[in-house]
Amino acid sequence: MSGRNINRINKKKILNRLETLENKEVIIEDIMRSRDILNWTLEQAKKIGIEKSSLSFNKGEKEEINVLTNELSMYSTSFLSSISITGYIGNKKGIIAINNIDKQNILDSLNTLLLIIKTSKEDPAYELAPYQGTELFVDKNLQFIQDHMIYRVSEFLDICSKDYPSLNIEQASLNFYRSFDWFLTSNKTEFFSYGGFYSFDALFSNRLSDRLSSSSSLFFAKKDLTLPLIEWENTKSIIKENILELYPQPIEKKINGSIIFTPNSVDELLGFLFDSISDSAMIRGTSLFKDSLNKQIASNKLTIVCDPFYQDFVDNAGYTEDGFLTKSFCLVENGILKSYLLSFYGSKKTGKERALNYGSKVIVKQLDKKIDQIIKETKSGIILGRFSGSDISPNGDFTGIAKNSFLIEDGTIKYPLCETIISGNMAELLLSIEDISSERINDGYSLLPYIKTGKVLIHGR
Amino acid sequence: MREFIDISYFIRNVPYYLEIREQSLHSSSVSIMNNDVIGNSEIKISGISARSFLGGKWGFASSCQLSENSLKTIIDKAIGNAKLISRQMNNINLPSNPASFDFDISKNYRDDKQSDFLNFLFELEAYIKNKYPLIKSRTLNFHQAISYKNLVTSDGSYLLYSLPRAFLSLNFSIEKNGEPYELSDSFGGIGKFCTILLQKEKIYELIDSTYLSLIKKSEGVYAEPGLKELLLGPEVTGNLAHEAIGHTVEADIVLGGSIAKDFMNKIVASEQITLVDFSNKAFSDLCPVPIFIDDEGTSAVDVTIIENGILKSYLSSKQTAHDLNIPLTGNARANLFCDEPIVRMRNTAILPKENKLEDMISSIDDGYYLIKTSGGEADTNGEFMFEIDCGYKIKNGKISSPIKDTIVLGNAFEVLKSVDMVGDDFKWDSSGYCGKKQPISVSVGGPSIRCKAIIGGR
Repeated sequence: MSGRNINRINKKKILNRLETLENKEVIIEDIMRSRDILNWTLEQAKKIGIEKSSLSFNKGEKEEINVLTNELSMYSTSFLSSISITGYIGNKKGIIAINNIDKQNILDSLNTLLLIIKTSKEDPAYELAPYQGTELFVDKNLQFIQDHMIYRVSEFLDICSKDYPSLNIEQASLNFYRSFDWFLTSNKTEFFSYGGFYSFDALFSNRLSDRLSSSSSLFFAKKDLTLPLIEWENTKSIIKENILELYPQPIEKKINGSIIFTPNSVDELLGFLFDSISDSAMIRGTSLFKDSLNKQIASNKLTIVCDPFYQDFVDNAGYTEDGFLTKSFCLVENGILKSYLLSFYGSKKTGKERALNYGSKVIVKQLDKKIDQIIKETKSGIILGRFSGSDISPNGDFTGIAKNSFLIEDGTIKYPLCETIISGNMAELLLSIEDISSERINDGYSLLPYIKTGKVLIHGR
Repeated sequence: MREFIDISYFIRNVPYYLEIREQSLHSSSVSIMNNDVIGNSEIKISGISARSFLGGKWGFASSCQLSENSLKTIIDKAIGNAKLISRQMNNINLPSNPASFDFDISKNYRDDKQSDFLNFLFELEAYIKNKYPLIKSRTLNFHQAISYKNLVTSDGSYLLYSLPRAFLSLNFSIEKNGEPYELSDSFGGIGKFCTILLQKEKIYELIDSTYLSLIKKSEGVYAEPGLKELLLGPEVTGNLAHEAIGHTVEADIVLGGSIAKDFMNKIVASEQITLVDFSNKAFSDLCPVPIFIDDEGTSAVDVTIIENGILKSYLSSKQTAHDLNIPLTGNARANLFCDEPIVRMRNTAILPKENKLEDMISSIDDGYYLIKTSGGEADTNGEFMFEIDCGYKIKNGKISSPIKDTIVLGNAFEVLKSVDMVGDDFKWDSSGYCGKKQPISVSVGGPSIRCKAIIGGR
């Protein structure tokens, strides 16, 4: 993926970037025809009295192979498109989204949008993003081979059946989505992107005579199918852990112990932070961190970077939904909050700075120790595979079940847990991070390590 | 009823199973937060899909282009896709229970303007701001969605369907001792904005009761964790029926190894429990999510899942009915035109009995009354968890202190076996969506029940 300033996006510029693509002449015609319609839409919006507007257009094709109960069950192809039109009259705003882009439908929708905007209320924070220039973001190396998709899924099922006989893949799907996007505004900002990626998700459990493990799930997205699905990130270890879960035990006593978030569950910890510093909580004033910029909100071991251009992520976003070019930035540096995740609207409502991107691509900096060493140094606690619980309260309080989790005692993993409840406070856990692993997992959207923190209350019945 | 293209022409005399579905969704949404408009939008999406069954495999294709050429393309694609993954030449005959039905209630409701929606929210906002100054943040949302569907299948089914649904939701937050507390609720069902407007008094009652519950919640204490005697209110009971039991008896989950696989015709609950997935009518009224013919064209029937404590039926689609050799129930549903039908619940409820709520409360010496849940999840092994965001301690037969947000958990069938009182206070809740692969509207229902389960706390 690459992006650079150009004077104007034209057919030649896009063709140059799509050099390796099959059928590129057909695709380019579609791309340019779509832009003509979008430019016409902007003109029509102006004509009927919508003073300013932005258009976000997506057209793509999705291929999907489904697995049900260890067998290929369905192959699906979807031809999708959508256009979202945001219009402004003064500081009044309205949005209409449609998926049929014939001119009559667009005209009807613009008239509806005009009425929607007029019904709204003036809000000085509603404003079209200033002119951003023109940018082109094209994934040059995009490849889709239908037979390869079917081969990889069949291979995954064969390996699982041979190597993990008790494994039951309840549902799984391998998807490929490729699309092109236009983002145009009435003040002449023009962004184009073309790309695609594969994603694989699976829900599975293990069954051995009358024993049934708790379900586990996995999700990864990649740019290609070079590796077999079983080799994607930590797929094998998640499957192996689930086999151990055929024999879970409830925890016998109430302990105040450490919690090691796995890359699969660390979203719960980071999600609380991200929600707290984004538009909704910041505008409502319910954020615990509303006055914490440049203050210590986490242990000095934690550093988080939001990087939409990280080379091993998929679906790279060169621009925000509200029409700004994105840049990479450090969100938390050695535990200090360096930015909020405010949009243009959120920034204007709160009087704080807009973020350079809105936090959809996350990298947590790794430290030196391997996860095995971190477990060895843990006196008592749990390794949390998945959290099934209440929404985290605005003050950070949480209660939930430790699913796909294991008890740790005296530096050793003892047994898989069932009916185990954990309670604590996420804000306190951020401050008490003790260690971060050197291993990280890339799910295509984030690069996350194991994070050890504490203390939480862990108990059973 | 809006005009559809003639899709039935394309289904004639095909030598394999084929279904064609044209579908559209028209939704409007307005939101205000502390007197600011934060959402003001309309969405109109439509498209067409084809699904074929060849050599034991499904092929599916969809497009948002509504034209005969587009339809021909996706039919060819759906057939080609099935052939791509099919390894056997012989076709499998799927079970079939075709039906025809026209259901268009959208036209029965007046269409109102976006400005009417917004003005109504501002009226409510002014009421809340004036009456409850302690509320620090108020968010109000009105959402209306009208779905249209036209389905034909090669085994002879035909459906024209439109269903409007409208909901008002509210979220309040207050601050106490420097800590924020929040509570949400919603109101609505079948209808459009005019339906909501006709029930203004109930909305003001909802605002008042939500505020009072939030104030009490801010004074709440942590529940004492452990296995406790619990009184679950209708909303929590309904969610138990859907999340904890309903999913385990969906036939695709059964095939996938659900715990319910081994329980057919066995005792799975107290004999006080009868649990039904209603198709379109219950207690002589239209259900909140009425399904007459499912998205495979199967005539939808009520399914008694548990009868007096004994597991009696699973919920099926054509293929799962074939694979498990069970009856067709009409539970195959798809959300949008680009989604394939999968086994889904419809209106899932535990049936009421004769006990009065006050008698049930007074029967508990030391336990909890759990009233509101904002959702939960269940495992194929029967373990479930619900979030509880409004509840009270019960001490010596009386409602005692409110509790902070917590969770309730357990094994669904063990919890249902512990039920020893079932109330007469049945209620539907249809504001939620089920998130199995595609989000889809469902309703859940039940009365208060007394049972034993684990509650979280400190």
